[in-house]
Amino acid sequence: MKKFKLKKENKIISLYKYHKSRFIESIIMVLGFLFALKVKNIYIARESWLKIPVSIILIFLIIYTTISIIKFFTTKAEKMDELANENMNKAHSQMGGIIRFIIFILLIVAIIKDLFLHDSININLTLSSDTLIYIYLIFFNSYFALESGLFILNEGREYEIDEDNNE
Amino acid sequence: MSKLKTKIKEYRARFNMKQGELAEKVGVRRETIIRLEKGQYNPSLKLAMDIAKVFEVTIEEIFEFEEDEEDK
Repeated sequence: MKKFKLKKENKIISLYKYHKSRFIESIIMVLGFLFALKVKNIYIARESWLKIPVSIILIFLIIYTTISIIKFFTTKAEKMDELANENMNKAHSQMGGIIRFIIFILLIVAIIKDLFLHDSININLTLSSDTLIYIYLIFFNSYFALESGLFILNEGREYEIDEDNNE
Repeated sequence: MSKLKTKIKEYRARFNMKQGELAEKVGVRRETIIRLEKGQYNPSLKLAMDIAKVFEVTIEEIFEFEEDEEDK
């Protein structure tokens, strides 16, 4: 019973490691989806033989995203303490800053195009439901990547056991 | 700009307590204690009080503000 308890306690990972692995996996997912969608556009245009490999990659990415979401919700990480909460709040406010910056840049581009080039931004998208799912998953993974990435950036480096002189 | 200086490390040595043990007693992570000892983090009043309680001293005995020369 004691051994079982010890094993259970050992499974608790540090918040730093948790967010680091979430950041890496989310970034790989985003890049994977972007790559697969890019190749999908190419095969639609000219290379029809790419259809099967791209479909396999996309299915794999969807399955892997589902598994990683379940994994991240079930992984036992350290509890958030006041420093972690502070760093997470900072990460969220930085995310807000990045989103505001993107919107600001889009507005500037729209104004410049309208004023100087007498043109406007036309977004004409006709997306299939499949593609929309991939886009939702890209946003979902981007959110995770940004949140975890900024959190570990605010946390700084992880201190190892040998930092404690009394140990 | 004044800086918060702590004597947590000294008190921990006096009580023969590891960072992890203190962290567990006050309900934070070991990283938080490390950053407190290094002066990289200003704790909340509650955390400061909890730490002082563990060592059975007042907050002032563990935490002190070190003023810069410019402020004086």
